[in-house]
Amino acid sequence: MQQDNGGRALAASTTERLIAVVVLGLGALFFGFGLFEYGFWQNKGPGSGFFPTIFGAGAMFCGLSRLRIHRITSESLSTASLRPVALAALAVFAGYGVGLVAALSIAVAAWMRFIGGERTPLSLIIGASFFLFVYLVFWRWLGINFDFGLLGRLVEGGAR
Amino acid sequence: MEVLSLLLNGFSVSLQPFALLAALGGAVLGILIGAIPGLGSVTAIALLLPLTFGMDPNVAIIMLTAVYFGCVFGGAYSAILMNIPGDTPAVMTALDGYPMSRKGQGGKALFTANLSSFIGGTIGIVILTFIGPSLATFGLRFGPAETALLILFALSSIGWLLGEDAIKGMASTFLGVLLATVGIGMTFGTQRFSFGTMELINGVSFIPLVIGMFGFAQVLEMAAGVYSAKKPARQIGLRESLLSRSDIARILPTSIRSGFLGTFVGVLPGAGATTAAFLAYILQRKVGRNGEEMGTGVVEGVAAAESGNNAAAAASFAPLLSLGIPGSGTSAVLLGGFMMWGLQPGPLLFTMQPDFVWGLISSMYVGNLVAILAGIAVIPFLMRILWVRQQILIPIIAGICVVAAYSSGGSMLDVWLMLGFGVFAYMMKLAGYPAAPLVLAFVLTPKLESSIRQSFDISNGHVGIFFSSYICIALLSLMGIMIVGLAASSLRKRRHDG
Repeated sequence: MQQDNGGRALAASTTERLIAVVVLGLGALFFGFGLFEYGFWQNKGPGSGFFPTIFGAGAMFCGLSRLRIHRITSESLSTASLRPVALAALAVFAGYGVGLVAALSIAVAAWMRFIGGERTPLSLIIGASFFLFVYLVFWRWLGINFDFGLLGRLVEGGAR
Repeated sequence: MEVLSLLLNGFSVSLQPFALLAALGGAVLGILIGAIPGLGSVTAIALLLPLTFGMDPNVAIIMLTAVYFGCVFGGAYSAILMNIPGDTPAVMTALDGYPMSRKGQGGKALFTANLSSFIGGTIGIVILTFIGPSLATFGLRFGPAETALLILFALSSIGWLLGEDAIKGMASTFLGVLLATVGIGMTFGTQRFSFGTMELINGVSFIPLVIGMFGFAQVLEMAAGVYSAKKPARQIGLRESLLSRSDIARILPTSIRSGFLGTFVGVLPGAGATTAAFLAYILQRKVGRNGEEMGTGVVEGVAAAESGNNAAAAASFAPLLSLGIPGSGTSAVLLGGFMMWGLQPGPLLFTMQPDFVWGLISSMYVGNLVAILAGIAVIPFLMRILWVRQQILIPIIAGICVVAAYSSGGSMLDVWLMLGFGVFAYMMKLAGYPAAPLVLAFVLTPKLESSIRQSFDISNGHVGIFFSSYICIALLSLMGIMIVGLAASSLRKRRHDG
């Protein structure tokens, strides 16, 4: 059982069964669409549904096998591990408003300060460095066009 | 002897001071770009190609070759240090490289990656120098049926060999294949599983998938505190990370074996460095001395993947130069560069443009050597990443994952997909499902699908095409032997467990 870093844990059996159900469900979806919608065999050869049907059936078999096995080998899922997901999702949502890079930089600093317990100046420096790195490497050098979000568009509209 | 004198002529071009400077700049740039998750050698060369418009073609190709080798070296660094493969072949490097980092052997893993990359690259270049054109002609015997069987062989073995449970390995492989079928089918143009979503018409992007499955899943694992107790008690210095004589004795045979295998796979059109790294890893696991320990953080795992990868990268130039057929995505971009400089790769290139061809081949020796020197020079700086506290690393890696996923296609859907894949991969890991088969199956499936379809088109629907050549028979026999062997060992294990 893995160490829980402050959060609660989802039982190992649930994690194992959840994955088996996802594998089974995805297998069934791809198998069904592959066989009945996209065509298994067309023009003397495999059709668009050939791979989804064959490998969908394989996935269903694997999912079913794991559901039937009672010996659980997985570890429990700690809810503490899901904190970065929540923070990243929050930052991505905020990115629609203030722009992705700015929102991520704030999230990096906030994580360090409030979850990591680092000192405020260090958190701010790392957050600013992150912004600078993305700006220089991805934006200026590689020419990735990051969206400034609603705020950016408002500023741009005001400037015009 | 004629080859040697032509090669020496080539060196007289590639060892000029300006050419050496271009090689050094290219290698450093390549290492940097290769180490950034989501940016592989194709992106690097595509980005730098326009800069070479005004250059002398010989210097330009020297620089781009060094960039290529630098990228292949650099791709391993983020895989070893952060479990985020810089490019696709580095997925295999991460399997042992990252566990080595967690054991406090990150520096050793980096040195191993550099040394084995150099050995693999050298084997590939030497073979290219002496028998490149004939090897490329042999590669042409790999038609669609042979290619399909080779990929099937790789796919059928990876699910079994990675991870402890064959069913879980197979499930992971099947999921990778299924994900790869999302988007427009290549044969009939059918839209599959996009369900009206415009962004999914071209399918699931590879970069969000690999970053989510490896990088973001790793962030979640770190946040769960899995590694806090396993952190090295003290900082490991550079001197302790140097390879010992016994390490080198373990790395050398692995690298040489993988280098030859990688070269062979590299000349096959479309097989690429990923298949090479993947097969080299499997071969090592089957015949290597520490095969059973692979995946837990052993130097052989890193050496096999890196040597196979680099050898294939070098060998992919054989079909490009002698037949005009690019063997990988990067060589396809380089083909565009050749045309831009007014060169037409093909059988006549060796006779019509010997200066260019031998300048290029000699620049590969130089590029490989410069890349290892530059790679070793940056190790002390890279090792500092291992000393950074996890509470600082977690948000930075998570942020880089989001930025890299967005950069791959400029779409927020890619970011959401990356987050979803990350959570799923983390849960898979907890449940004992290996992630690598999923990613590798995802990469190989499009080629497998098109090869199978082409085979049936050629044979007018007859399955006999898959038994029509000695290469097919050999591959089918290998698959049969492997499946029977694995079934027997599984039965033995079950009996042993009672």
